[in-house]
Amino acid sequence: MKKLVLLSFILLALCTGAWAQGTANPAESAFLEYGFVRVGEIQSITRNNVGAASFLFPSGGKLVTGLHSSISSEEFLGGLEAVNSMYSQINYNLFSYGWKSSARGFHTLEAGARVNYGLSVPKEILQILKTGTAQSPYDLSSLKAFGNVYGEIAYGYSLPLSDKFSVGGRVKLLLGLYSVDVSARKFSLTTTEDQYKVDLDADVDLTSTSTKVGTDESGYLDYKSFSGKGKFGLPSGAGLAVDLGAVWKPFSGFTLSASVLDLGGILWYYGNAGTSSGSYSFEGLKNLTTDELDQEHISSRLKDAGEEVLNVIKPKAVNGSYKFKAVPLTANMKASYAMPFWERLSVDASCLYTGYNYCAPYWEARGGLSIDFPDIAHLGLNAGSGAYGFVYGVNGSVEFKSFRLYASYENGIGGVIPYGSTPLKANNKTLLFGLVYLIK
Amino acid sequence: MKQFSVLVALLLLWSCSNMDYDLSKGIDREVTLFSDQISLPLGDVGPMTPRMLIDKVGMGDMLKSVIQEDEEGYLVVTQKGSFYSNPVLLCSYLLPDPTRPSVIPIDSYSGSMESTSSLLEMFGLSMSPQVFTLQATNPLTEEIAVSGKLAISSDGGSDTLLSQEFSEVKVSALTTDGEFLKVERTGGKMFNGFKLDDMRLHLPASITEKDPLSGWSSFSLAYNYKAYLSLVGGLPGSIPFDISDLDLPLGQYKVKEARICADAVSEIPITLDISDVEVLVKRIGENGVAGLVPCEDVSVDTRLTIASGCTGSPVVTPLEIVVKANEGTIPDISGLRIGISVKAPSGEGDKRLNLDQTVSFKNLRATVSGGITIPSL
Repeated sequence: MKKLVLLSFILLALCTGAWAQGTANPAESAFLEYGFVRVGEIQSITRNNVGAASFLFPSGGKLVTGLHSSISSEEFLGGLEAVNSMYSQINYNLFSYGWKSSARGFHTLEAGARVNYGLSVPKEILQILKTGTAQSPYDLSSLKAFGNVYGEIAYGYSLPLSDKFSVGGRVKLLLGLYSVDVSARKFSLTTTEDQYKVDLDADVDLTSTSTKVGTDESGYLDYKSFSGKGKFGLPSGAGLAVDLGAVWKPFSGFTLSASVLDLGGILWYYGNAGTSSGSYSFEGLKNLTTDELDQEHISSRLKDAGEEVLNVIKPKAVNGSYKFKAVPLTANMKASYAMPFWERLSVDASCLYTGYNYCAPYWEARGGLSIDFPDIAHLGLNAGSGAYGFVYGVNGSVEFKSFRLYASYENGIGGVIPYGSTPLKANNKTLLFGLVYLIK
Repeated sequence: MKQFSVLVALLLLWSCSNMDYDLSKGIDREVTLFSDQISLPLGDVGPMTPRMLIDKVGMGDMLKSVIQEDEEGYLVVTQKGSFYSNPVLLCSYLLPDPTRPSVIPIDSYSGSMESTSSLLEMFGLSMSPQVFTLQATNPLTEEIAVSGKLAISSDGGSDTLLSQEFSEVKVSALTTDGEFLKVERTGGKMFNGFKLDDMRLHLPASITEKDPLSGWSSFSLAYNYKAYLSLVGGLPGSIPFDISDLDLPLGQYKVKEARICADAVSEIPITLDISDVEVLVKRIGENGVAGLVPCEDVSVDTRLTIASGCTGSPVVTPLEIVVKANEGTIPDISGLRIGISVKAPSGEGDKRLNLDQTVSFKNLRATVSGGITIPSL
């Protein structure tokens, strides 16, 4: 039995947990006694404030959507947020190299890439579909979509100021590769019996220095027409970000660390920019004559009305512009206390805050336990509560000679869709794994 | 240690898949949208005129055989005729002393209107106002005058509606069909006969000497009867009317209640009342043949009275039709049975019928309550 439990822990450590290296406090390396080389670390973060269970419902032995008649408006709409957002982030660490200087400090040099994308859908859109238009007017300006890819080249330095206190920082040069951003300053829909009115003032920004989106004869962006397709261009944005951190060990066994990561942003050049702006009122098909009361004429008139709506929605090309977009900022704080009766066992507490410039921030607080066998293995378990409810995490690492394999898995509760990983409830899901070679 | 492993197992379990959400079994994609209510503006239809309707149904020629249209588009019944004509030269020759002003007596004349009133009455139409005029042609370069007595009767001459004497009414020089007497009556009985007695033509002296070129022209007298059509009494009862070529496949959308509203803007001096609307659905009869029968599962409430207006002063009335499923949802609709009541115009104002009077349906809008089901989104 003991072997079985031990084996399951090892498997768990290999398959899931480890400290989230990607959000590491830059000051923590100040106490490292040897250098390291890390290659190919991948961290995936997915945060959604609603899950699949907000849209799919088991009903009468089958699975139906929230728009099915068997699902009441209260049941469907009550499970949605005012703004329903999904955010995903993939951090890829191409390599990291850390070395201890001849002085007291510790240097790190890192290169990697990051992919961020997200979508926000206001509840009003689903409310209209579910219940109709009786609640007019609707503010749909929180409908947003974005995605970007950028590279990071970072230099970090940490310094132990004393045996008990260290500080560290990391400067990151951010090279923007691609970015698309669709956001509205104003997007309202007013519906009455006599009129449907749309007011829109939105920007569609698409970067690319090598590829240019064409325009049609009216000056609207034509996404079927590209020039310079396939060319590899220069970065379309550049920026800076810094990570700052501190570690304090006021007494034996107790460690308090805090960090602010990704404080900065990228100045993107949106060479393919468009603006959708205008107002359109649909009052039905006006002045239909008796001769036009047939399907062909009515379809033609509806098509004309559709064209008018499109003329408001379609983005009109505007001159390229520079826009500064902050990257998601993360703040961490962690306290760890090694048990006096068995120092390998620690009690941990941590909190995290991530701020976005397009949706509500994410936060969480956790408590946990960890067991550390130096040069052999590490295992940690934690649980807590966050913006999306209960969260838990498992992390671990195993060392063999100078190699350390580490992984971590964080999730919420509520289950996932079978044979898939889509969470059923609002969730923060983080998966990280990597391999580091310790230069001893 | 056992408790610890149980805790780990529990944590993992929380992230396990929920088989109630097994997508591999498929999702029922039927959706019911707008479950409370949705309103949609449909637009405006019109303006439409009776002329468009007549042209569309191809009844123009038939109508023209009974009813004429005057230069302003009003529907009229007209009749005209000449009851005296003599060349100037002959008149001058017959005068006892052409060098002095003279009076030429004209024979009494009786006439009757070719009555179409009985036919029109079948359609609830009346002739009002009626206008009877006497006209003269004076080819001279100086004026002449006409005297006499006009009596207009109805009911085959048994009822004299009016009698009017006129004395030396001037007719201007060089006039063709100049109106010198006009009688107009609104409402009342139809004119169907008239009589002209004691008619005299008053001529100036030396007409051929003063005006030698007019000698070959003629003095003439004529009458002109014009009656405008209007609806004064309406039609008794309602006219059943079946629309049997509808094909509205509403059944699949599971609609419970639909309401269509509009504002009727009418210049036409007729009150139209559409009532007793029934929804017709297809049913297979006992003989195995499909036929249309009224659907008892659907109730129709209407407020479809188009108030009368008149040219230049349209009247706006709200219209509404609500189709509601008594139980379940509205089935496929294959036709409508409606009863149309044609009633007299209400209120004051010009009640003459004109083929160019307009009716429009403004702010047409539809409201569906209870949702629209789409079988597969």
